[in-house]
Amino acid sequence: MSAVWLHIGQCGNQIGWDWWNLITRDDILKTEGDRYPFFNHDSHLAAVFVDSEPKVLRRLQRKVQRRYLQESNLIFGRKGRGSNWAYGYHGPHSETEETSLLCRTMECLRKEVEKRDCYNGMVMLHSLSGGTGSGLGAHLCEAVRDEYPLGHILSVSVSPYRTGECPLQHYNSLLCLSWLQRYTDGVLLLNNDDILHNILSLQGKRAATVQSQQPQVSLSSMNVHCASSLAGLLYPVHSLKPKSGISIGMEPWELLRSVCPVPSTKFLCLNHISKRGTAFWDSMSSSVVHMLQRQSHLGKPYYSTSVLAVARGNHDNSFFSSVDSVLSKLKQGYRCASWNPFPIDYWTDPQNVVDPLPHSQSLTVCANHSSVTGHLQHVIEKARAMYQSRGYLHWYWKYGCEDEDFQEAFETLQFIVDSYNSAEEQ
Amino acid sequence: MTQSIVVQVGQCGNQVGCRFWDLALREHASVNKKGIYDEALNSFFRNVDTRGGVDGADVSSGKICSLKARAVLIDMEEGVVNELLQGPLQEVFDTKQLITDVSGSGNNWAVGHNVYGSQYRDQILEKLRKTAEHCDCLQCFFVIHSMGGGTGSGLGTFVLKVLEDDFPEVHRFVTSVYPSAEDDVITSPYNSVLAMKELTEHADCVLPIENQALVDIVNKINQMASSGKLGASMKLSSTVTSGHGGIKTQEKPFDAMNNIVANLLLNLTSSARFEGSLNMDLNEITMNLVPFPRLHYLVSSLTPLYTLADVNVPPRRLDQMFSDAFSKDHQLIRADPKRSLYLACALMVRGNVQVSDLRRNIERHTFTIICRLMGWSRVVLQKLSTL
Repeated sequence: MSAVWLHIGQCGNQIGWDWWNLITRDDILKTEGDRYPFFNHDSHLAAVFVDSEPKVLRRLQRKVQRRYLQESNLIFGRKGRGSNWAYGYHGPHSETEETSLLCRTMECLRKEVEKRDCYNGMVMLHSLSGGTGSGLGAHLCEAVRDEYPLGHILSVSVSPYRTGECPLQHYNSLLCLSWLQRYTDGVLLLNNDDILHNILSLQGKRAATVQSQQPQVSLSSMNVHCASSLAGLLYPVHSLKPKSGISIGMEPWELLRSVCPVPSTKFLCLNHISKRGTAFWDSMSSSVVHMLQRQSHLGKPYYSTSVLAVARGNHDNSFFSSVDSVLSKLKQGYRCASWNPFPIDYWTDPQNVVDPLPHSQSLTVCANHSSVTGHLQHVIEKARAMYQSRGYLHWYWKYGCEDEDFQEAFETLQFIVDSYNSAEEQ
Repeated sequence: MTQSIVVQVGQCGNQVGCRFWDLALREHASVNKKGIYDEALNSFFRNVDTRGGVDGADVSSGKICSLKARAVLIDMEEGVVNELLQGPLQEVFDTKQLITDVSGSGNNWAVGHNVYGSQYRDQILEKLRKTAEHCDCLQCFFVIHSMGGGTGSGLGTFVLKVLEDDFPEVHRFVTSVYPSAEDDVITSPYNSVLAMKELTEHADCVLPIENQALVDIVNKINQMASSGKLGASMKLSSTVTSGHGGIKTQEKPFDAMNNIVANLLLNLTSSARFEGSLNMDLNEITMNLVPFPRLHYLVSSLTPLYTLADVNVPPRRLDQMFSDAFSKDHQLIRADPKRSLYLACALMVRGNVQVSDLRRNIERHTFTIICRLMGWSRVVLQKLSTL
């Protein structure tokens, strides 16, 4: 009951659809206490969905069980934002104050916040490479921080493929990331390359016998994977349940408090694995460490300042019997910084929300890992090369962006990279 | 959903436009089995209630009463437009959407642009404004014309100027058919060059198409169809040049070529009309593919040219399709992209293709054409649709 969920743009809404489908399953929502963290008293979801064109939201309306969604929480634009951050941030010239997507969303958020028993913050899902998700997302972040300064903001941002999915992705990512650094408390960075790679390797293990077929991954399976990872991390856990037995959904804020010790370094990476059968927590933690990128392409090893592991499916307390070896594996794999005396925190829950089968476990690890510098450095370099040739800039000037926005964004991202590089020695 | 208006100018423009509307109706008919007027139809057609006479009111939802195309047809001689109005598509067009004259432009750009331009300016503006009023969210104009003639090139580019002045916020996509080297019109070089200047200044995005390239593609398909080996397994109605068993039983000489252009336009707008797994709107095309304002000429290609009767597409065939998209045989102008520099590239995929196949092929091709892509622009726009 403490969080409001905000989904922006095509990516944010598609992942949001899979997320809500996952956690509003009948086998999960058994008691009133299970509904409490995510539903209002009028049994609607505490979620707002925004997009600048109607196609994705119309699909969402049909698919997510109607009775949970409030129609007024779905906010549509008409024309789209053309993968342009400036267009997403400033909006079309013809929009007035009242009709703008920003104002309508803030109004809807205000109503949701007022319905909360104790509003603690907002979780925002969006992508970095588009127009609406990155541009409008950045503006909403700024507006929410202004309006509700005491609330947290956790942003779940999907970053694009390195080989590219859109020519404007570098500019959009650059500008959006600099806004996120300024106005959020934590950024959970999900990377399309990593997601695709993880799914292919998991499929490869299962389909090892069928040699001739090349494994295929669909967009919806990628979205489901993201939603499962998020559920593994943020769904209420038993370790944080108060004595009353009813969770108020403090997981996102506890995550931030635990994994973002230093305000200048707040980018998080997420790894998730779910298995069926007998619980082998050791092998699961090895698999998770294996998914991690441990050193940069120049050979410099990455480190973490803080790690959080969430173990679900621990109904027979099997996790506690292997907790020492799991933690030491994680500590070694993630190379925790020496100045943090308790670098690894863990939460457990007897049920596995990700998989409906009774004998299944999942291990989700979220860390403040310096591998994010690799992504940021890539964005800076590509954006700078494009900026120096002045390509595509006329589209940004047309919709209200200025040179200073770009210069500040370059400085901000460079500052983040430098902070990560020096934080190990702190 | 947003609407688009098609402005067809001149003989070529109207003939291509005719094929476009026919194929569009066919495409929607195959998807929309229940006959309900949905958002996809709304982008190109109005649903008019004809009970109140000819000038009926628009019906925004429910069953289809009578579809009217959102189009303005302009030609300075009556032959082509009259044929259209007497053919099977006569009910899709309104007589109020036409502007015709009798004598033609005599293959002279100056007659089309200056003489007819000044004479018909008000009428053109009036028709455009009326058509635009029927749209509640107009996103772009599609102008179809040829560069070698008089009306298409002269009056067509004049219309562009009018659109820019009066509808500055609406994108202008121009499909220009360039004359081939052995063109039968003597003044086509003059007309083309004069029209090019107007296109560079007043269009947002130009899709140049060369007649010779279209002829080559048609010949290639005919050769494949009659070659026996592959011909037996080829689905003839699925070729890029076919009218899908359309309105005419007897296809005229330019029909095959016009079908290719019509298919191009349909595929370009498919993501704006139908929903897919990863959507891309029309304004995204302009913003992502035009890095500098004057460099807005987009080379297009279509694959596959035909589909086999067997629906299952093995991965090797899919990879071949992606390779073909970059080869010179599939381009709609006579150019070899592999010897040129790519500033930006967009891949629009319709059908049952997964993200992993798409990424694999993108990585394969950015590697083979890596030295050709400008360093900063090594990014490809992708889009998936489930149709």
